[in-house]
Amino acid sequence: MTTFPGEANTSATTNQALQHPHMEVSSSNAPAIMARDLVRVFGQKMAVNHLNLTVQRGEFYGFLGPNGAGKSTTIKMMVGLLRPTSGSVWVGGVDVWKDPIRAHSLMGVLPEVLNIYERLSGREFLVFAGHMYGIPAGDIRRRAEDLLQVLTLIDDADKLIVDYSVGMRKKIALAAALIHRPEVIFLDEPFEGIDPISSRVIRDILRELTQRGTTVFFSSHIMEVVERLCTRVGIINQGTLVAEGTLQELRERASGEEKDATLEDLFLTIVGARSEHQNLSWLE
Amino acid sequence: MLVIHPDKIRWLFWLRWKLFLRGFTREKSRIISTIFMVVFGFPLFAGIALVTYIAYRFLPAPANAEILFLVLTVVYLLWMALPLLEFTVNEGLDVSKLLLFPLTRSELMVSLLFSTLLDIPMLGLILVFIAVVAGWASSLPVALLTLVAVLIFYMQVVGISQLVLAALMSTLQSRRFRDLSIILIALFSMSCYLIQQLLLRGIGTGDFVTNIERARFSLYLQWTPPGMTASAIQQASLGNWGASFAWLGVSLVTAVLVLYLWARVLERSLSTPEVGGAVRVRQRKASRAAAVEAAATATRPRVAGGGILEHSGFTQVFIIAIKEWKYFWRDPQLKAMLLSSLYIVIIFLVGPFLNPGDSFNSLGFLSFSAPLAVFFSVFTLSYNTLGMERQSLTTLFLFPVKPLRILLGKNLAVAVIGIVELLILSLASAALSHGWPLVLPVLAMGLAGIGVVIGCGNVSSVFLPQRMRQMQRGFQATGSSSGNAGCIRGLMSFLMLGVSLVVLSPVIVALFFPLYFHIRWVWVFSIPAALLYGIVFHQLVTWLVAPRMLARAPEILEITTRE
Repeated sequence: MTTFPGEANTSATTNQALQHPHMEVSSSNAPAIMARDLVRVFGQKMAVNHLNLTVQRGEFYGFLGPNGAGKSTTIKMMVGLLRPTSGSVWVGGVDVWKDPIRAHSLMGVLPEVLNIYERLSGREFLVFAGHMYGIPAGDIRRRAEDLLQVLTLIDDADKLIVDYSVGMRKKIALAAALIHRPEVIFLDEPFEGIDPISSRVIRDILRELTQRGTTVFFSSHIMEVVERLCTRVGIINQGTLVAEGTLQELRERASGEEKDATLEDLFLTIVGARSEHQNLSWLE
Repeated sequence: MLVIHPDKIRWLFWLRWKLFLRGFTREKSRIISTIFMVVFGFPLFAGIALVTYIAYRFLPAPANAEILFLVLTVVYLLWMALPLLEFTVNEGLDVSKLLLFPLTRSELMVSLLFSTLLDIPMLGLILVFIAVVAGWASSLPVALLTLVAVLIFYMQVVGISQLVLAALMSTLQSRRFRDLSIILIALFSMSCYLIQQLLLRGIGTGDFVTNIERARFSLYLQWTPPGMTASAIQQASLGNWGASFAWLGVSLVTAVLVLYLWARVLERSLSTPEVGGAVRVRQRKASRAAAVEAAATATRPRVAGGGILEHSGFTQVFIIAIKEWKYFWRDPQLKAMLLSSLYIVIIFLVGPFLNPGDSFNSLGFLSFSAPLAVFFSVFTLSYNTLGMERQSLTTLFLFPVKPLRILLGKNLAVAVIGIVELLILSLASAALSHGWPLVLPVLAMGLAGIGVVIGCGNVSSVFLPQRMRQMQRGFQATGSSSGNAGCIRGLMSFLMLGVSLVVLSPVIVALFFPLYFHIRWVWVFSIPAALLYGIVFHQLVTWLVAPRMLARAPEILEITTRE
């Protein structure tokens, strides 16, 4: 079992796993995601400020925050695309920055900006992704066809991705993130720019995955979706995790008049963005 | 209705001026590219202006007018065609943003005409126009008429280029046209050397002035818009003022017509729903139950023992190589790079025939130029192999693939291209120069060279990655691989080329010197040694560099994927 700082030796299990490639490193007892003292500084600006976060297996974790709060920066550090100034991240018990290849084998990522291979067709991209994840060729074909069918991309599977709409790109990127059956899925604004039908399909798939033990970590601006899907929510503001818990826990922590508040109300209160009446009398 | 508020025109020009300046402050590399454009473009246009001025002034009467007809027609055609190949969203000329405000059609057109004065190529064109006015200013009235004619022609040129742009907007925005234009421009840029060679031979063989004097382009060109302007100037210089004013009037009407059509087409294109490049999304019936069921099937847990990291390494290397080949074929930017690398090969093949008297065309030099051509060709494709991934590199780094396999896959793709080029070139040069005995050492040098260049390319790709801007059209696409990456990085890649040559020097010595000193028996030892050297160098360097690629992944991404 992989342990964390302050518990026991971290590297022992990882090294053992490297010597025995058949063995999965991911420990069933380790949290799906764990960030400790995560810091990222851009010049003078501290984008992420000593962030500590733990997400248990099978959780559907919503990561909220206003624009520029540090959501995407945090996700990039968690998936190994942006080096933290300090701090550590473990996914499935694997240190993302010490053993990135093994960590990447456990995760699927849908970034906010889709940097996929646009000059491959949808089907080719899924097959390519499957091989990169090391799935046997027969399984890749079957899984790719299933995913294309489910995500209603089968009719456009042989079209180049460069000719896809925004929604179709999101779906093919999601399919590529799912093809290896990841233990943890990171989704950065997955519902931005896609139509309600695609949104519904993706939501159903994600919900189904969490019921089967997959952990979903996603950021979104759409409060209704977060409220409906997430088992737990973390709110980040100016690089600091300012609130975390289930919706009920957040309500209980809120002041008396907000006991029945929606997530949007709670969010606005927590980040201190309650609208104030401006003086626009000249409009009258 | 001709309603123009000078204050609005002033503010619209202010907007264009601000955007022009912001272009430099927001993107520092643009300052360098502008300096390059001024340093190289200004002398070119100044040279054209000087030559045409001399032609207008000193050639005998029919010939100087013929030159005028030709120059104006070429300018007109160029300004019609070039924006098609270099189409980008020019904020200053983007009327869709201005249509939100209460501006009249006349105000929009006038402001757009003024905006073009801030386009740098237009400044070059103004030099050519100054030459026309100065060249034909035999008297004050003729000079004034020429000036007016040129101003009207300026309106025509701006109007027609924007009209063509607006009329073909939906086609221009289509992905297929964008792809095609990138390749066409690359081919055009590459063929400049051959065109230049052919032109020089064409001019050099006959009496250019006599041919121009005999030519009667004006008979046909006078009925075209540029011909009308030229006719007005020609008739004024001959003292036929009636005919001159008539041509000037027709020219003015044509200019107004073009501007009117431009405005109409622009308004129509902006009020019509955009269809170009859009993808029809069909509604499909996918019940929720079926979706969830299929998702569950697709994401079924792996069978025991099917650990995802036990996949064959060679399969991943091969799959990456296939992806690379597909990209070389399908991505217009990479295809342009591939074509430019092939162009190097073609020049090496054709060059000796263009310069038959050259002493370097002896048997040995011709044969050994084949691996040299392949060396440059492979260098073009391998020195920035990670940067060439552009934004997709993020996806590649998210896959749990060992970095060594990524490098080997990319190397395999380039090596196969290099080997094919080498085979064609060495066999062709052997056939042309009857140098069959040299095929083996030439192939050995080429193969060793491929190994060395790709090895050095891995080093520069990991330690000196360069940003290659995503999908731009025309000249901006061909210049993007180094221009936007900065001069220092360009110099570093040049340095890498030198390093590769130094590393390759033992191979050159081992294989070329036996030919030069007539000790060919040395090849028995030097050919296998050279091949071994190339393979060992590549493997060693790649093994050393691969772990650094993994360690430097965020830094590489920061450089190569920043937009």
